[in-house]
Amino acid sequence: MKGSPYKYYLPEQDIPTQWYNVRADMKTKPAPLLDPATGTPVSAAALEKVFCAKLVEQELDNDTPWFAIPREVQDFYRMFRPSPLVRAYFLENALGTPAHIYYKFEGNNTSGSHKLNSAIAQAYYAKEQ
Amino acid sequence: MASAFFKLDCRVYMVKCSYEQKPFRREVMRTYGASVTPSPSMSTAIGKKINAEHPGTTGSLGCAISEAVEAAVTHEGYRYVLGSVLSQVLLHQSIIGLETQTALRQLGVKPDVIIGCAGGGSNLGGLISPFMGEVLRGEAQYRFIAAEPASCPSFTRGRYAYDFCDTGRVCPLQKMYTLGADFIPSASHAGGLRYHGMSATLSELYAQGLMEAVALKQTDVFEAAQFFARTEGILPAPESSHAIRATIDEALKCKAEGRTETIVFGLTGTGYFDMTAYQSFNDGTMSDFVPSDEDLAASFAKLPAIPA
Ligand SMILES: Cc1ncc(COP(=O)(O)O)c(C=O)c1O
Repeated sequence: MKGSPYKYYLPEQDIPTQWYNVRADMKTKPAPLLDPATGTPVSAAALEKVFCAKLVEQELDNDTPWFAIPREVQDFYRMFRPSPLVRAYFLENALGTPAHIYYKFEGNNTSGSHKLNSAIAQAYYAKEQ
Repeated sequence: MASAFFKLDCRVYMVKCSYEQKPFRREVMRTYGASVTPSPSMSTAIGKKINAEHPGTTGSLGCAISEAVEAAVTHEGYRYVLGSVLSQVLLHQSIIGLETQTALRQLGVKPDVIIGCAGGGSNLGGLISPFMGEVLRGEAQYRFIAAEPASCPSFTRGRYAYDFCDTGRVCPLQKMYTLGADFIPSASHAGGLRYHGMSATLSELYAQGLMEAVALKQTDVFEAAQFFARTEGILPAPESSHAIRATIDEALKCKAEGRTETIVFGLTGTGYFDMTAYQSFNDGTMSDFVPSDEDLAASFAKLPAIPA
């Protein structure tokens, strides 16, 4: 679209309140994690020695399409989300390309990257447990 | 930041070459309360073993994972927290794609191509998930492109096989595009993309032909990073700059063919902690290391024997 703004921020009320699990829509699922000792699919109990129980559930769930984002995580997301969707007009002009280029910029938090999106969720479930 | 927010104790195993290349990254973590150990360290059994077998090694994500997992399972009250690869991380990162999808709808824009850099696959997976869902449900068509480093080309030159997720072989086996758990990539400057394997979900989507991948040389990536910084103003992380390079290549193809298309890419982060990398690019001393077929064959030979 020609008229896109340079930067577009979703209204705060439109920040997603659920995460989406693409595995739910895959007909052929990713292969299961295997226990190296037995060569059989790894059990939740084995994974729970390493990860929090809630995260193990998410890890092994190939069927649930939507997971509610806990309220505390949603609150934390509001410190730095939504992240802007930028129309790269300057780059398009510099390249002289007819293509329309957009980028989703995840660098606007102190950690400097998208990694915080998952770190806060993992820390939340650790605290809860 | 996350641990400080929830008042949790945080111990970080940081790949040794990153620890040395990015001292300020380390100090940020310490400022927020984390203790940071360069990996491989002498504080875990697996770290000692790796140090003995590979004296002077710069480490790798695969080594650091082994150490962190060992520390988590041997210390009461600790759990392992990770930055990529596993499905739980992709799930959380879907926030990127969901926001993007909603914003594009509000703008009335339909993308043709969606591009992201791929280390362990979390940002790419998070960005493309909702769009891939549309494709899988038969609602839309998009091209998806994974941009990976030529120095660590899991998709473009790896094998789709069960492999260990970590060098110490303490984690479960995952079926993924892999260069072999023993493959230690050259000490390139995109530390976040130096991982031998890939998300199992993205691997399966790639195997099904639903995604493309390109492998990019480091100097080409930094040329794009510098061009982007000078045009768009943002100083991009080296990892993110792989997506920039792939986007520029795609946009120049459109130009050559006189074709309009809408490209969306993920700009995962800023590069303020990567100035050593930019320095070597600016000084003209940056090199491109691409593993030979023999290097990879040697690594593939050590893949665990699991029926596919
Ligand atoms: C800025 C940035 N982008 C991308 C990545 C690659 O990770 P992933 O493939 O999981 O998104 C990293 C990983 O460290 C990173 O720091």
